[in-house]
Amino acid sequence: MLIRLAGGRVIDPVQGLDAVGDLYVRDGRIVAAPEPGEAVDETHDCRGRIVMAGAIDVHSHIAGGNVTLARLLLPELHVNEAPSPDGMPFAHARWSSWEIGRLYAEMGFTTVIEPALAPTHALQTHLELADLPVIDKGALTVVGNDDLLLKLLRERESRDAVRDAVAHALAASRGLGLKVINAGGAPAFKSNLRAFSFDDEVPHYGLTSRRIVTGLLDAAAEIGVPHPLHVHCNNLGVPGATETVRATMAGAEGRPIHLAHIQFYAYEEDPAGLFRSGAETIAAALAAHPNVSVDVGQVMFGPTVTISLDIMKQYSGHPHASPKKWALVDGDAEGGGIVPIDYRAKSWVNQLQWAIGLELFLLSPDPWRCLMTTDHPNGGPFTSYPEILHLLMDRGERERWIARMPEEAKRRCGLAALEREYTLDEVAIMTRAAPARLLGLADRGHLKPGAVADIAVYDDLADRAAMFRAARLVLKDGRVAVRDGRCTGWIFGRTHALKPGYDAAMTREVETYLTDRYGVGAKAFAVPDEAFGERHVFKVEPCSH
Amino acid sequence: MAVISEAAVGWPASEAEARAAALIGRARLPLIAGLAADLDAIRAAFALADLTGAAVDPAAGDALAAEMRAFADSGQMNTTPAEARHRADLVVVAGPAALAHAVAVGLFEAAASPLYPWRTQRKVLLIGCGDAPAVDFGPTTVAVSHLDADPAHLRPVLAALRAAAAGHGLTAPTGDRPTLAAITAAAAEIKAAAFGVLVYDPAGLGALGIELAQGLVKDMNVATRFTALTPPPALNGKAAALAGLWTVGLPGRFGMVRGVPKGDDWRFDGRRLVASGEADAVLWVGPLAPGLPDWLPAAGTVALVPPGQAAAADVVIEVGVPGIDHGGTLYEARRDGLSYLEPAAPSARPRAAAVIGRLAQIIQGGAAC
Repeated sequence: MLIRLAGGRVIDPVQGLDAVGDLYVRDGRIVAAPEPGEAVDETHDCRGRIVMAGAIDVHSHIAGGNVTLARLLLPELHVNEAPSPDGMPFAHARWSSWEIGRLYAEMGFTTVIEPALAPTHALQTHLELADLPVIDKGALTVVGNDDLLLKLLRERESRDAVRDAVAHALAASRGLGLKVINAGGAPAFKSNLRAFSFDDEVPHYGLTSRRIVTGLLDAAAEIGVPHPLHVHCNNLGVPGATETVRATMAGAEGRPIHLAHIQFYAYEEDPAGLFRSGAETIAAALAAHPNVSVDVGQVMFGPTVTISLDIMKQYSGHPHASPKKWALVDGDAEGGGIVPIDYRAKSWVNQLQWAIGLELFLLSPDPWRCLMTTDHPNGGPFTSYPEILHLLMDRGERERWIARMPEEAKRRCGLAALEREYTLDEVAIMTRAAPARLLGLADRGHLKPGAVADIAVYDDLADRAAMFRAARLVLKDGRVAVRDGRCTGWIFGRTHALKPGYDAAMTREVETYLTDRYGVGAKAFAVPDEAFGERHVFKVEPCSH
Repeated sequence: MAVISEAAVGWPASEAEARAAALIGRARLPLIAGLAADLDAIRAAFALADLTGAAVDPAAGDALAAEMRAFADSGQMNTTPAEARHRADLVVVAGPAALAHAVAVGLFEAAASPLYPWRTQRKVLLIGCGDAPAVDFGPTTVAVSHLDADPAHLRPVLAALRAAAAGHGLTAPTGDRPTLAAITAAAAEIKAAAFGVLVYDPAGLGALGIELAQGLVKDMNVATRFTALTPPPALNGKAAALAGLWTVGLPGRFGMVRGVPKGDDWRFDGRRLVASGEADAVLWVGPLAPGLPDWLPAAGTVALVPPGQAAAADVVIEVGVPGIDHGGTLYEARRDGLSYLEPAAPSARPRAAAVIGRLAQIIQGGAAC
């Protein structure tokens, strides 16, 4: 079937395209203009509208044991009142997998990455992802605090052994990339350390965070993982964490590295021991390290919940829980911590966090390397992306928000002086082209012939929040998934995963380790296709070599 | 009984399925109970609940209600059997059910090579487990101490332990069992742990007891590391709870009310719904259950049971057992997560998920009415 999106303003930074014209789709792919006279089966009038590739989120906690634990802890965050439309069961069940897929799609997002795929709970995470409708998914395999890897590093096993252990974890958990979370922090906390920096040593292990991260950088490069190693640095939320970020950037020694939710580290310490914006420091470091990409982790106001495998940080943050309840699992490797939080507009601390996030966007030297996230739900829900885009694209809107900031927050950051306004082209880079490129998903994030037909069409409104909140039309794999801001029914995307190879000896070593640790072998942790019944869930993506 | 048209639903409907669909499809308030089945069947049951406006109550509904309520009220600190087994230098076991779980998940088994050779030798503190339980505490356990207590009344003991460990002076005796001196000594042992684990049975303690146990654990973390381990709810109840949370945001016991999932532990208690007559048809999903609960009436009940199980119900459909007749995803206590089990003796017996799916198809098609 040939579909024409007619007369829209087509914006595709990958092609350098910003022009009014037609876009064609056939059999789920974007195609070149057909021959004259060829019949078009379906035409969508896009005149006066913006046509972009479907948006991509590289870091959003949408599935897995800790997300579900947060659902359990906070029933008040998802009181249900709206019935779901016929044929779309659970579409309005608040905070369900089904609602997440629907809400993302209605904003024009077509691919979302869960950034914390714990290998021991990979099956649950993938089962949850498979219940997320419409969008394509992927997940980042968490390594770096598990005892097998730490043992190999501690005993100075060969780089090949470390590579094979990491490749095995990636393949067995069916991840799309690699993530490390406060490397060494989890075992350090289990040994009762309450703070842990890049060059601190994990008690009893003889390993520093630096050593773990650099070992993983080597492994990622040798496996050929397209996405740069995705790093949740040490010292999240600590005044002075800018130094941790700088050390981590330098420690990468030019290798590709992605630093997650950087806003939570852009904190410098003033002489009184309070925090102030470190956005300029981070932006300068980002400019100096072209191998580094970041996502922001923007804070937005309102009640939410922090979900993290950084158990040391989550424990230390529990006194700030609002409401006053929290959960922490000392799990195999990391585990996780759930701490609810209310980012209050009347709090200068929360206002400063909000401002620092915007500073990072606006000081960013390169939209290809500074991506939009709220670290959903940690800084706020992903549904606040339209408001964030409005703030970035409209200085006047920003000034209205800044006018409400407490003076204490204003004088601790430089947001008020920043005049930059994001263009639609920059938005398309930051939310489409750049995340696709960083994930190694060459078939999306752009509108070139051959690309998957994941396309979002928006009304060109001055109110950018309204514009991006409800896409006029979304095609997923060439099928209409959203019309007039509403999901049209359940269709299902795929979960993208790598399938790296490794030495067969590692299979035996892993089996021995798992049996020794758990009393059960690798099968108990597997993610077989059979677990998904009739559903065809996975799409294997190539490693880069 | 309406005739089921093959053409209308696209498959040959058995008479039992047709009768089952008629019962469920016509009900004012169907109850889908048990969910003692693999994850596919649980998902299918949720979809049927959405279609019919049913109440859903897992076999472990009571235990889940207490545990999940306690979790939602105040949060928890927990660990896994593997972490407890390898890392804990003190294991505190509250009651016989907790001890049985500790043994079942291999907490006292020695590893072929210790993962944490720096761990100091382990101590075990038993509360209300009797003086000499027939348990091998393994070669790495150097001391087993006992706190004499009535296993049916552990909450006051946990409260006294928490108070003593927090340094609140216990001036009054706590009764004959255990003595104040024993409480004080046990509290000192708990405080001295580097990585302590309290094992307790949520079903036995109830919501308030769980909060007490967790209060003790949380208090200890101010100065040292301490966490907790609990047995999962019976009959794959944890899988039902997890799937409920990601499907409707609610753990297991809920109702679909005019298309909206509602959580209410009292309102959707299956036993109460049946006793009050509110639920006028029941689908029991129980391929993993040893039998039907005694509160289920035969009239109006459709039972999906494992092969050969006798059941007093209007409609009985034998289905395969996950992990034996067919593969399936179940909650595995030892590795503390969802695992896919391959079939041990594959058979052609129908899967519960497929049967439930067909019931939904018939009801949706309107053929059963």
